[in-house]
Amino acid sequence: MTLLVARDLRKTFAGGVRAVDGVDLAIGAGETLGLVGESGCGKSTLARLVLRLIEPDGGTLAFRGDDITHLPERAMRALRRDMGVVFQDPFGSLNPRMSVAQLLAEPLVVHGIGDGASRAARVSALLELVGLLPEHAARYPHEFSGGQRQRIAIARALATEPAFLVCDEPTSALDVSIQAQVLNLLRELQERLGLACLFVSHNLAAVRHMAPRVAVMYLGQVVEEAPRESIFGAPQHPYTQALLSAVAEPGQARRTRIVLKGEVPSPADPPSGCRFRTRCPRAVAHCAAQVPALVGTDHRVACHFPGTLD
Amino acid sequence: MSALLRVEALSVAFGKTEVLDGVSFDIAPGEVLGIVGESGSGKSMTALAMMGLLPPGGRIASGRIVFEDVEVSRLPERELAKMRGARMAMIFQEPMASLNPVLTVGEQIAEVLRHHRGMDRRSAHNEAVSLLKLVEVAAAERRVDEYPHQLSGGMRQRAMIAIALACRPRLLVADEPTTALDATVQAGILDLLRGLRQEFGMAVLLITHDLGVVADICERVVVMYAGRVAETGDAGAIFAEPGHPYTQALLAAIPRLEGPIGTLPAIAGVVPSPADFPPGCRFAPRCPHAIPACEAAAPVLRALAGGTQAACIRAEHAA
Repeated sequence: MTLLVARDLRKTFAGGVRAVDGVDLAIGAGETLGLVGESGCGKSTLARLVLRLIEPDGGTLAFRGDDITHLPERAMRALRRDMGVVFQDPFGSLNPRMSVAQLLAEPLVVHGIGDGASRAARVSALLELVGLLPEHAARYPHEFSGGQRQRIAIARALATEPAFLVCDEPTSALDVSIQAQVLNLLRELQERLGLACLFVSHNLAAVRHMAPRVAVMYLGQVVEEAPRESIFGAPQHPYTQALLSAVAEPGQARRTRIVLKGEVPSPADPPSGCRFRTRCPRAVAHCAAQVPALVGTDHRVACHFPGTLD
Repeated sequence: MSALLRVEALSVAFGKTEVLDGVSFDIAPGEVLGIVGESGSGKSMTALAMMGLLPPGGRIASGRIVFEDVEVSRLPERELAKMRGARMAMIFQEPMASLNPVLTVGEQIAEVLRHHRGMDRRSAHNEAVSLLKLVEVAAAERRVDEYPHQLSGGMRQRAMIAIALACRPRLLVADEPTTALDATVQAGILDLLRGLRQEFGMAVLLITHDLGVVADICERVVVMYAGRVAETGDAGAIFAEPGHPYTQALLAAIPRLEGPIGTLPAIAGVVPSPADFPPGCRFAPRCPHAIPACEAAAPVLRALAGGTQAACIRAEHAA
C-alpha cells in the first residue's frame, strides 16, 4: 500500500505567493523519494505540507490510505508518531537547554510511550543507532559538532519508530567529510528500519545517492519525476537538463552548460502556460498558451517538447 | 615571472591560539588560485590576513605577505586602505551582508569610484552603469538605481563584483562567492569570473569548501586542513593524483552524478578546533595511513611523483 499520497496539493502564502501549486506525489512504504529544485521552488514548503506542519489551501493528503487533509490537530498529533523530520540546521531544531537524553526522550513522553526505565533504554538504543556513545546522553547540544548534532536530530526524529521520515536539506550545513557520514547513516537507517523517506535537497549528487526515485520542482510544480537512472541518465525536461549541466564536479570534464535566460519569475505572478517557458531554450508560442500536464507512467514529464539532449 | 602575491610562512594567532601555522603560497599575475578546505581549515582567515582585515584580537604572529613587491603585512592601516579596493579587492559569500541596504547599487559603486578614482558624481554614475553591464546585469540602466533588496541573490553578487572591479584590481579575493547561490546561478558567476580574468588579466584567489567549484575555474589549488597547507599543486594533478590522504579522502567523500551508488567513503571523526589541534600531523588522528611518527613532528611540504606537493610522510604508502 502507498504510505503517503498527495493529490493536487496547494499552498499560497501572503502576497499571493503560490509556493506549491498543484503537486501530486506518492511514496510507498519503505520507499525514498528525492525532491530537488533551486531556492524558492517550493520544495521545503511541500515537505512541511506533507507533514501538515503547515495547512494546505487545496488538494488532498492521505497517509496509510486515510484522508488526513483536514484531520483535527489532536488526531494529527497522534499520527505524527509515525512521521519524523530532520531539518537543515540541527542547532536551530534542538533545544539548547535540554540534554541529549531529554531531547531523545521527549517525543516518547509526548506520545505517552513507555515508562522512565523503558525510555532510558530507548535513549541508549537510539544513541547507538546513530553512532553516538552512551556518555553523550548527559551532554547538551552546544557540546557537539555540526555532524554530531545532526545525528542527535536524526535519533530524535526516529525515537517513536516512525514509518515515514522527511529530511529537508539534512547535510547542506555540513562539511564534505561530515556530509558523507550523515548520508551513510541515513542510507543505513532507511534499509535497516524500512523507512519511507522524502529527501529534499538542492544537491543533485546527494539526492542521486539517497533516492531511487526523484522529482524535480520548478516554481511550485513538479516538472519531472522518474527513477534515478532516468533522471540522471536521460532527463527529458529542459529544466532538469539545465540543472544537471550546472553541477561542477572535481575530476570531471566541464559539462556543456545550458545557460538559462533571465531569472526565476515571481511565484506570485507565474508565467502563463508552462512556467519554465520564459527561460526555456525550447519554448515556442504554444508554451505560453497551454499548461503542460505531468504525463507518463514511470517517467513523468511536464513539457510540450520533452526529449533527451543529443 | 615574479609573483603578484607571496604569502610566506604566515602564522596568525588569537591570543595563544594559533589558527594559521606556516602557510605559504603565491599567485602569479592573472592566475586563478583556489584555496579549499573545510570549516576551521583557516582558508578565510588567510584571505582576511592578506587584506589586513583580521578580526579583533587576531594578529600576524610570524611570516609575511608581499603584494606587488610591497610587504603589506607591515603597512600602516592608512596605506593599506589605499591599496585595498584599488589594487586588491574582495567579495564575500553573502552579498546582502556586504551591501548597504539604504543605498542604491549605483551609489555604492560610485562611492568606490569617487573615493579611489576621484570621479565626479555624474561620471561615476555612468561608469557604474558600464560596470553593471560588464558583469552582465540585464537592464543595467534601471538596476543601477535599485536597492539591494530589489535584486536576486545572483544579481547582488554581480553587483558586488562590479564594486570590486571598479578600480580594475590586480587581484580579486573571492571568499565562497557562490556558496549561497543555486547551481544554475553559480555557473553563471563562475563563467563571469573566468571571462573577467581573461579580459583584464586579473588574478583571482578563490576560497571555497567546494571542490567542484575549484575544478571548474582554478588552475592551481591549495588544500588546507586545520590551519596548515596539506597539499598544493596544479588542479589537474590534485584531482588526478592527490598525494595527501586528506585530499584523497575529501575527493572520495563527495557524492557524484555518475558512477556507483553505495556507502560513501566518509572520513571518520571531526575537524579539530584550533584550541585542540593535535600534535604532529593534524590529520593523523583521522588518517587511515597514520603511524606513530606522524604525531611526532609537523610534516613539511615535499614534491611527490604525482606532480603535487604534500605535507605527509606517508604519501607513498597512501598512493
